[in-house]
Amino acid sequence: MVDLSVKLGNLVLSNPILTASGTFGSGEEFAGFIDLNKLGGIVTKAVTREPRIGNPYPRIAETLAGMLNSIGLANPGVEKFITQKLPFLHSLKTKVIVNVAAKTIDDFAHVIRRIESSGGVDGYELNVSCPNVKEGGIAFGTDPRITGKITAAVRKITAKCLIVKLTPNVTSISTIARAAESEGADALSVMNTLVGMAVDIHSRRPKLSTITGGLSGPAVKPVAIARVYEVVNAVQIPVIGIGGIMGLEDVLEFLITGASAIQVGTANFINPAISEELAANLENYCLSHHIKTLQDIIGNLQT
Amino acid sequence: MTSDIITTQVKTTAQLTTGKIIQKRMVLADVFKLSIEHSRISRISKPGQFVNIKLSDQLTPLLRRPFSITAVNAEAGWFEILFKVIGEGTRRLALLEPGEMINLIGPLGNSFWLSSQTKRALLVAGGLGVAPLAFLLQHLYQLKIKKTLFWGNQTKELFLAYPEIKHSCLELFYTTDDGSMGYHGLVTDLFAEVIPKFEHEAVQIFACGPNPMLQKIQQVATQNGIDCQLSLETLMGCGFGACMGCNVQSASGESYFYTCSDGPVFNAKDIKVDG
Repeated sequence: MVDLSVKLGNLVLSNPILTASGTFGSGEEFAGFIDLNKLGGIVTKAVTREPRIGNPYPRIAETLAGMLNSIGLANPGVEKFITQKLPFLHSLKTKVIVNVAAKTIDDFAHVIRRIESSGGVDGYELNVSCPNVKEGGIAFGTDPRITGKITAAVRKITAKCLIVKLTPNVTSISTIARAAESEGADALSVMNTLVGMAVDIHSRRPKLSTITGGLSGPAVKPVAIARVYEVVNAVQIPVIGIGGIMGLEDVLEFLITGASAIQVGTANFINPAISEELAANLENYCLSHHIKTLQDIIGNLQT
Repeated sequence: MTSDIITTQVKTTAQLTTGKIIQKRMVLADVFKLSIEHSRISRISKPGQFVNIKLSDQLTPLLRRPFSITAVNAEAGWFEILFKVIGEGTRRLALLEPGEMINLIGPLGNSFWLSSQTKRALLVAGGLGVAPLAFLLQHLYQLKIKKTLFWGNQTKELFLAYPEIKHSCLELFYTTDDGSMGYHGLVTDLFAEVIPKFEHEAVQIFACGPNPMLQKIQQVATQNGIDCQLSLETLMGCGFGACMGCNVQSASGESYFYTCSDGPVFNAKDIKVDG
């Protein structure tokens, strides 16, 4: 037997494989492809206080070994999330983390209070790093003071696992990371997408309606690994590695660098079964390498 | 060939699966038809639905590419896709040979649906937009309704290279941009000219092609009060409702539909087609 479990604050995941917000819907979209209960957990598409229709078309553009997106946090709002999505999520045995985005501190608190009073979930990931909205998002996550304030406000209303998702589009990610840690975050997700842009040379127009968007996919992995390295050396709380994970070797690379868990993002679009496959592959890897616990891998970087 | 009549819009459960290419036909230098062995997809797919194909084990192209199903043979257990080489993804697809396996997800999306009142189906295709309409025709041939296809292309080459669309039960209008065959002009212009001829018939319009064509068809349908379904092509990240990258404006402009999960077939009056 291999113990793949990891702890994020008081939340125990049966394995370190999570799905990245915005790439996995509310899980239901993948139920026909995999057994969701084989995952360490699901991180939902961002939920906001009011419904959001998202940005105009085109919202995605493929780039070399990656993709740009500018979805714009399209979601039905917290009330419809509670009636339409939460019952399914409650039926799962896997851990459920709801990604929450907001324009104000009050709205963060409101969304989490509403979900808490509707049966709750296992944890919350605060989205202070979306590059594709005009208010909130990255504007919060690039400011350590605001990141700290949001974390502190939400910490007061829930004892559940509280994760802050950080943007790499800053000069010093460790400053933001420490601000979230000092105000009570249980874990940090590193990283959200990199701001990117692509131009159609024929029409001479940007490939996204919003001109810039967020770059994800294997192209960003080395940046993500460097950010995880920086953050794990700056804080004591667990770090969740995100960025371009396509296979088991990528998972191991993040764990060795110091991530306690990982999130699979863009790869879900290409192979909707990838998250379950990674959980199985990680177990097989540990068995064949006589690794009894992930603690033997996590942070075991030889420098 | 499946014999049931599509009177309601169908959605099916998609599978992540593989299929073997059993035949490849070069229709034109840059247009190919692949026959892919897959009993489930050939059995349950309905006209309008698509498959999302992984074109490489490498990281480029990264995302899958969606292709309309253009024909099925349920008994023999294969289906076909028809495509033009546009970019790196379709270039790789065209290089595959019979015997090779492809990774696909399908069938995805909804289907065209036929009103029980309809006495004549008017199909309008722009270029390779004929792909899902050919599959629809395959279904309609089993019904005692009349069928008219308006098919526009830039030149005559595709008409000549694609005789399989011809059928004794099909009234067929060709249009070409260069006048090399059929009506000289846009398929939408011919369609607008001909439509009054059907004013006393219970007709339904089914269209697939470039957005400017679909906009015009939508207008003509609205002006004539005809039920009209449009099959849309948009960029797609996943094809199964997760990425939200394939948004289409609702008619009011106040919300979005998603091509992969709400479409690709839409009632023309529900959506605003981008120019």
